[in-house]
Amino acid sequence: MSEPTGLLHVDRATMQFGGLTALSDFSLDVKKGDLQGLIGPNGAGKTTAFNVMTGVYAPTSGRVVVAGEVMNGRLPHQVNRAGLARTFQNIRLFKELTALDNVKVACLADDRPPQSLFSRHRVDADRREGRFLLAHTRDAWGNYLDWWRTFLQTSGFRSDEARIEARAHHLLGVLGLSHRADELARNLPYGEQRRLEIARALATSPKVLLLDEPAAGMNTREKAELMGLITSIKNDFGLGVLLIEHDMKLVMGICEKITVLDHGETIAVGTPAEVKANPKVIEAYLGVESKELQA
Amino acid sequence: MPGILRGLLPFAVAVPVLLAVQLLTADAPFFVILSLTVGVNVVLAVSLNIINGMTGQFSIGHAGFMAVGAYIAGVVSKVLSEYGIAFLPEGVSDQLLYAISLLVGAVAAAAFGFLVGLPSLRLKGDYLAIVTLGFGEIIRVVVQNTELFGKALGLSGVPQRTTFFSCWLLVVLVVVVAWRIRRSTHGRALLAIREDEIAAEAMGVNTTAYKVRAFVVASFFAGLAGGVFAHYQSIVAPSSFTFVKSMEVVVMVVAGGLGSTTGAIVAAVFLTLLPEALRSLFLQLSGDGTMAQMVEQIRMPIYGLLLVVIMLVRPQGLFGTRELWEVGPFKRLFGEKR
Repeated sequence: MSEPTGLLHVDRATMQFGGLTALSDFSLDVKKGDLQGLIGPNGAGKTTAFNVMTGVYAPTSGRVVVAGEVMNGRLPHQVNRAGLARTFQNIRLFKELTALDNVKVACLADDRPPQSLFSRHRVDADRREGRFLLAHTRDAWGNYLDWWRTFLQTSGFRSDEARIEARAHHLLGVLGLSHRADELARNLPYGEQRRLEIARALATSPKVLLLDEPAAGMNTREKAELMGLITSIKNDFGLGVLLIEHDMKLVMGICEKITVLDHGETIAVGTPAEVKANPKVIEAYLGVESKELQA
Repeated sequence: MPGILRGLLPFAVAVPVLLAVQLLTADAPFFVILSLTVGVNVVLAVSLNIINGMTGQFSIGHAGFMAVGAYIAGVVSKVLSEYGIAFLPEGVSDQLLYAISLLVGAVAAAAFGFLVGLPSLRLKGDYLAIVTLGFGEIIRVVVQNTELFGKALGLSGVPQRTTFFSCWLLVVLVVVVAWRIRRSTHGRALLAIREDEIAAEAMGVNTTAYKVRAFVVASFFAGLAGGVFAHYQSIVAPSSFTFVKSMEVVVMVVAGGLGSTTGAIVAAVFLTLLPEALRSLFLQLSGDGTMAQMVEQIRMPIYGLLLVVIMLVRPQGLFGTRELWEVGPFKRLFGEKR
C-alpha cells in the first residue's frame, strides 16, 4: 500500500452495492495547492467516489485518508472535521435560512479556541494517542458547558457569536454574496446558490474542497468566472481542490491533473493533454463508432 | 461576569413584574387558575417547538414527558412535604422544596427524552411519530398500574404550591431558553437538520447528537410543566396525559407555525382560552349551563376542524417559521427585521 503523501489520499477504494460495482480500485492523491478534475460520462461513479471520500458510504474495500488520518468508519461530520468539505451536485442549501445563516451553520461552536481545555485540537490529540475516554469526556463537557454559555449569554458566548458572524460575512464577501446576506437561500438565483454552497463549505475550514459539478447549469461566461474564482480561493485559502465536471473543455482548461472514470473503473489519469489523447477516454466519451470514423 | 448579568436581565425584569401581577390578582382565583392552565400549555408548546419546529422531527408524545415530570415531582414533593428546611420561614421552605421536586421531575423527564431521542437517530417522519406516540402511551399505562403512582385513581395529596409567579417564571424561562437556542450555533445546527439532514451532516454537524439534545431540552421543560401542573391540580391522574393531550400540544405548535416560538405562544394562549370563551358564550346563550357542558365534548372536533382549515388556508401555520414581528402588520410596528 502506498503511504499517504497528500491532504486527501484514496487508496484503492471499491464500492459495491449488492452485485453492482459502482466504483472499483479508485485511487487518488490531492496535495495542497492542487486543482484536480474528476470526469467521466453519466453514471461513471464520480458522485459515488465523492460519497465514499466524504463518509456518506463506507467503501467495501480500500481506505480514505484525510490529513494523515484514516477515515474508514468515520461519519460524514467527522470526515468534514478532519478537513474535507464538499458541495452537492443538486444544490442542498438550507433553503429557509438566510444566506448568512447558511454559512454560520458551518462555523461550528465546538470549533472552540485552541487554548481552551475542550478544544477540538485537544480532543483530537487525545483520540490520536488512544485516550478515548478522556477525549469523549472533554468533548461532552465542552458541549455541555457550551449550552450553558448559550443559555446564560456569557461574554464568551457573545464574542464567539461575533467572531462567527464576522467570519460568515467575510466568506460571503469572498464569494461576492455580501449583498445577499439577509435573503433566504431559496430566493437566490441559481448561480449564487452554487456560490453560497462553496462559501458554506469554506466555513468549515477545510483542507481539501470537493466540488460536485459547481458549474452545472451555468453559461460559458459564468463558468469561466467561476473557474477563476475557484482558482483564487484555492490559492488564498491554501486548499487542495477536486472537482467533478461534465464540461471537458472547462476541466481541461484549469486542472493540472485529471482522473477519468467510466463504469466505476479508472480509465485514465494524467495531465489534460495526456487524457485528451487517451483512446479509452475518447471511446468513453464519444462511443466506439467514433474510432471507426477517425480511422 | 457582566456578560452573565446581562444574560440574566430578562429575569431581573420578569421577577418584579410577575410578583406584582401575583399580588394584584390575589383576589381573582378564576384569573389565576386560567393563567396557570395557559402557562403550562405555553411551556409545553414552546418546548415541543424545539423538537417539531426547530429540529424538524415529529414527536407526538409530549404528554408522556409531562407525565413523567408530574408524577416524579408529585411523589418527591409528597415525601418532602413532611420536612421543612430549618431556619427558613415555612413559606420559603415550601417553595424551595417545591423547586427541588420540580427539578427532580424535570431531570427524570429529560432522561426519558434521552431514551426516546435515541431511536430518532434511525427513524424519520411517521416512524418516529409512532415511536413517540408509543412512548406516551407506555408511560400512561405504566403509571396506571403502579401502586406508587396511585394506579388509575391518580396520585393525590400533592401539596398545592404552584403560584402565578412560579408558573409564569417558568414560561419566561422556557421562552428565553428557546429564543437563545434559536440564535446560537446549537439552534442553527437544529435548523440545519430540519432543512437538510444530509447537508448538515456534510457541514460537520453531528446530527445524531443534536437530535438527542433537542429531545433532552424539550422533555426537560415538559417535565417542569408537568411538575407545575401537578402542584396546582393536587391530583395527578393518568387521564390528564392521554394521546389527546399530546395532540393538543401538536395542534398548538402547528397552528402557530412550525419553528416559530412566538407562534407557539400565541397559539397556546388562544387554544387554551378558546374553550373557556366558548363556555362563557354558551352560558350566556342558554343560561342553564347545558350547552356550556358540551364544550368539553366539542373541543376536539373544533381542534380537528381548525387543523384542517389551517392546512388548507395556511399550511405553514400562523407565522410560518418566522416570529411575530417579522409578519405582516407587526413588521411595521416593531421596525425592521433584526
